[in-house]
Amino acid sequence: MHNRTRQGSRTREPNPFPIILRAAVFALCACGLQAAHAQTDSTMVPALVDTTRVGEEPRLPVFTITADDLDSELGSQDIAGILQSSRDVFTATAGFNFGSARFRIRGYDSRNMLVSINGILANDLESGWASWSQWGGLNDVTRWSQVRTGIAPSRLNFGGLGGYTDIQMRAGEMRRGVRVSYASTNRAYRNRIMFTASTGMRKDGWAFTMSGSRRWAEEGYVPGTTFDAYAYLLSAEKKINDQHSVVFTGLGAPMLQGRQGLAVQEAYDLTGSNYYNPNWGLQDGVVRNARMSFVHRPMVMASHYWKPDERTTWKTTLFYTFGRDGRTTLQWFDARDPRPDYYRYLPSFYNTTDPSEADALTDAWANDVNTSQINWDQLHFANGKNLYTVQNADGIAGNSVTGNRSKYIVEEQRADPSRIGLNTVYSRQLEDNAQITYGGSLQRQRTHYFKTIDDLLGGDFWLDVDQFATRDFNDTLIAQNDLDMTNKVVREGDRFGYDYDIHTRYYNAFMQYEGKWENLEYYGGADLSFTQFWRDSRLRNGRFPEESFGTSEKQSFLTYGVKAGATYKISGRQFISANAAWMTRPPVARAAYLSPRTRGAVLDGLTDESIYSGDINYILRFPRLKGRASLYYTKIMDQVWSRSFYHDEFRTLVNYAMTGVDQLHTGGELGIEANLNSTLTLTAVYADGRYLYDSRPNASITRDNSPEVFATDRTVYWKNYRVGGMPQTAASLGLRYNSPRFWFVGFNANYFDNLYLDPNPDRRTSEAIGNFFDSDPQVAQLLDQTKLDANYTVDVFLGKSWLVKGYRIAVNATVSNLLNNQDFRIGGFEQLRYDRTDVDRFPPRFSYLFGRNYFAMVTFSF
Amino acid sequence: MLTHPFSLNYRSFLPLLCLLVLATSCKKEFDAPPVRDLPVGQVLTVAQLRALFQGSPKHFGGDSSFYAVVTADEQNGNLYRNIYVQDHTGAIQLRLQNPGGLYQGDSIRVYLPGTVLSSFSGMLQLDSVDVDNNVVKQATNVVKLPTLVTIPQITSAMQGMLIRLDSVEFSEAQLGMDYADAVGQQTQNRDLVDCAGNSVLVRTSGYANFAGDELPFGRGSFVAVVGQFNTDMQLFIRNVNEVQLNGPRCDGSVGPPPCEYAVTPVAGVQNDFSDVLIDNVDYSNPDWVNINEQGNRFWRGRIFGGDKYLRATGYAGAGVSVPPTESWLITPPVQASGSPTLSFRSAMAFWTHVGDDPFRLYISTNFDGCEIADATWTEITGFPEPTSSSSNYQWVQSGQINLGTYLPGGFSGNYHIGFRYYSVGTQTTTIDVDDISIQ
Repeated sequence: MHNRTRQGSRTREPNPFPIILRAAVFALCACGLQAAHAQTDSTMVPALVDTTRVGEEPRLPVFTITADDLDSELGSQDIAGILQSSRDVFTATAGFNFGSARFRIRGYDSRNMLVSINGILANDLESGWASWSQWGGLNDVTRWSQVRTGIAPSRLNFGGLGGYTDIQMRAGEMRRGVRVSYASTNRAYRNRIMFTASTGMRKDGWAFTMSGSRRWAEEGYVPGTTFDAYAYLLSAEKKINDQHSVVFTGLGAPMLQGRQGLAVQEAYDLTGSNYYNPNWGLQDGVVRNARMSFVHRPMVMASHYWKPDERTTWKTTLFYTFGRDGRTTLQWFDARDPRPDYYRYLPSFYNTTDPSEADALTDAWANDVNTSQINWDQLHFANGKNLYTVQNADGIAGNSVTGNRSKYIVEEQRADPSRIGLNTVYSRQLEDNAQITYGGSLQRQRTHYFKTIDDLLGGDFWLDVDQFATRDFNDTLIAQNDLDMTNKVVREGDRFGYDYDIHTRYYNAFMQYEGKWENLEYYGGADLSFTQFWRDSRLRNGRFPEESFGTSEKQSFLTYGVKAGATYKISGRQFISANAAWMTRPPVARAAYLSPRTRGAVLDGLTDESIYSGDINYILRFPRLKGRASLYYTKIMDQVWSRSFYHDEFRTLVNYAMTGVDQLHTGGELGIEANLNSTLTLTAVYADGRYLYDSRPNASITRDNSPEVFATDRTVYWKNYRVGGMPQTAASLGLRYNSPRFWFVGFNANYFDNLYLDPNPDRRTSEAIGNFFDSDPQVAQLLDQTKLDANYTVDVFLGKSWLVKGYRIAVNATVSNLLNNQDFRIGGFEQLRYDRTDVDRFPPRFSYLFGRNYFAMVTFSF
Repeated sequence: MLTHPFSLNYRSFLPLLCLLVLATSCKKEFDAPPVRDLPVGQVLTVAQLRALFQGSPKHFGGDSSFYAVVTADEQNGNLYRNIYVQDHTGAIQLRLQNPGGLYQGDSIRVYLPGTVLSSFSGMLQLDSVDVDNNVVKQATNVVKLPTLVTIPQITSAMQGMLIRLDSVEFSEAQLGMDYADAVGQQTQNRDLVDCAGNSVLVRTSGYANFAGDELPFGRGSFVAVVGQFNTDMQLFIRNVNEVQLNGPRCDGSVGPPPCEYAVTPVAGVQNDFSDVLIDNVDYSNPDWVNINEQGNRFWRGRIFGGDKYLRATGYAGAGVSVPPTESWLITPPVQASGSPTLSFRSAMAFWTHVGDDPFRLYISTNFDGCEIADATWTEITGFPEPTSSSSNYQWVQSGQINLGTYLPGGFSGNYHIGFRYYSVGTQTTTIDVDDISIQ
């Protein structure tokens, strides 16, 4: 955050308050619209989801817009420029102040927000998510982004439902100079150093940019979370002549991180901290985290910028990304659960049956680190004396291997992506200021899923068989993970368990027309896409000897989208705009498979999703009062949902798959920025949405380790449950003082409400209710959605800069959650495992907003 | 060509180069913790251990250990958190704090501190054994042969021992039953008897992987570990393959041949009997069962005017009285999914039945492919079918029969549909069926 010079505030403006009133009325309308959708489904009331299989979902892009960006765009006068979100007070505030509470604009997940780098789509083809960590630590370069929220015209791609972000990494357009910064913080990491140098366009037609950083912490805000990340970027641009430029960019960000695990409230209470992290423990006196992630996915790209004439641009980019994405976790066989917060190790498990044991555990949780955390030494001890003989090892008759068989190991689950893509966009200005844009892309991705032994924890080997299968069947072949090498003995570094690729193909073409009349600008666009995915496995396992091996059936989807919108200029200061889109899209490949680790079967009834969406916006651009009020409506239909978890009724790991999941997102947004005088700026932002499940999905439950189908056509009474995981209501009030002497100070007060946990689908079925009567407490326990308390936070920020002999020194700092509110639950999930007669046995797991935290940075640039 | 790519000072880039070097070494290795040992202390035999029990639970404190071999483990699901160990002096049951980790043939040292020697309803056990902390394995795959005994020799003194009985059989009254209730996952007792009439209980968990197997018919050898519940002596099977009751029973009877039926369950059925090749020959299709439960007649393939279908009849000539004839045509096993529907067409000719129906339709979820009488058959009714007043050979479409109403809610196993023809005396109405479809 830097100083920001105010301009245009000298001329006297008409009294802005009537406009505020009008905006308020608009907001009220938004609330009324939602009230109409407030009735709940039959007896159901609403809550997030076990992440047994699907990894943590990235949130809405971390906005890196700074005041610098806002400044850089002033001066652009056409309407499109005005609508640019980085100048939009709502979007900027939501990005800055709401991000920590996991706010998502309009409730959209990352899949709905297209992120591109130099025009190349960066969203993972398989999950649909944009992974910002891929270029984390390159903030000096990536902050040059163009952001639009909602349905909008785009000369880059068709755009997502929630808009798009395009990061420009063009050495020729980077400001010449060197920037070195150091930041101290107490969030995920403690220290950051960053260095960026750009040559600007040199006389010989070359321009270069280099950037690098390191972010690290022995321990972040949460105990046991280590952080060590580097980032590097090199970009070179060669301007061949006035028509042609080529840009080569390579970047990467290796990141090693010890992760935080969410716990049940009982564990937080026992340890006296809402930041208790069950993932770590002491090994020989040193903190060790069982859930490490080590991710490094470098990216290289070559872009060609062609300007055949003044009215035409043609951009083509070829890119390739590859690397590793590994996450470690504990694994065990025929042994006690080594996780400290397993429900049987909590005092509540003995509350009624054995109060003295409960008391002893309560005491141990408070005082014995080996009870409340992983006891690594004990795991080594157990492994070191578990003598075992594997008969006919490695599929060789008569071959026996004797040694200490590890009961507990750390495995690394890998999902290594490689993706190649070509993207081209042609845009031409026609007569009458109309603009036509054509574009298309070809992308191929292969994600290689496998796991390796990271650490045998003192044992000699691990036997590659399936734990559940050995228990459930009287046939030793069934338990084999690799029928072509039975009784496989694996050691550190060896692959085991599963080994398959998910291939994805994505080809699309789009066009867009933008027209301009005197008081009206309008656009229309259309997109046609072909998506295909399939599974290809190297292993043949004993549970599914036919289905587990080789190439599965290719799933193909031809989808389309159309969008249109118009902006009407009431005056040079007020605008009304409306946008609408109708589109279909393929199901997410990652959710399409019942259990991709064991077999190639996809969900029954896999089909396109369809979406319709629209918004109406009223925009103000007075010199002393800027703002926007919007209403939106989005319906997403026919989504699929799949997870694997331990089902208490069937007593085994099951694959739970739902089709026909509909969502309805409605709401309003209001953002106002008022310059009270030449130094004081007031911002007010309010978002109120209602994000609901809007259908009764059809669920099927399949045994994970055999073809047995436990249930089909199970109706999930999900209608009108709230979509979980983000505040549906958020408000912020901020005041900022800008001194003409190059310093600023300000604060924001933020309020969040209507946070829910996503509902566990199986608890909302007639099978779960069974023969309970309405008066039985279990009915409400099963059905009620977990709602989190409303909360507020206060943030302050300040900064100052100096110019000394051509060197610029800037210092700025932010303190977030100044009041140190440590009881603000910002998310979590209802456990999918549940006991229908004793729902509290598997209570939800929660995550809390960090208490008071800060980020302070000093920047030196020349 | 480009000797000076940057007009800036090179030294500016040194920090970046340092970063790149550092980035190459990201992961750190953890030290393995120092090796901890379980002391041995005083060494007991199993007999000495058992003798330490003086009527009240004994909690072990100071260092002591005993050595033994695991004779029965939890692998087959019959024993849960319970294993049996034995040395040359005796045997004892270990109750584990957590399941898993000890396997038959493991030669182990049990370090006693933390464990409790106690009696549960007459059965002496070493309780609270934490495999991770109380057990050190010495060797694997050590073979301990069962002791050959007779039923009267199984007494409290044999507690925990691995024994073998020769020349025993399951009680006649229980033949046809399973070892336990695998569906309801209930533990059940069966009686094992010898030819002298002595008997002993065989107790099997509903979670055992053989719980749903039918008791073997014959007489032979039987290996188990000995348990006790109050005054009852109980045997626990450690491996169902060690139950070898194959010979003739004490009364000399031999069992029926085992049912060998291995038709792969299908998702649906479509049969228009186009596989009938010769008219008026017993229908034969490896996936379909065609049995005469009474009499000697089967469903026969017919070809008439190019149409192929099946016919059952008891007719043996005008006015000829026939013995009871019961012919069953049974579909392959169908995997239940959703709400399946059945349709077919049927016809009758020369109705002579009085009172009884010549044709009945059944569904079963437990037909083994061999013994119709052993299965539970539910009759399907309420669909259009030919009656005494129908025209001869006039096809009647059954329409879509919802099978979901005949299957247990949420049933996901396999079921069979049975077409039963019955005739007796001069009631010899002919029945034809065709175009059987299950979707």
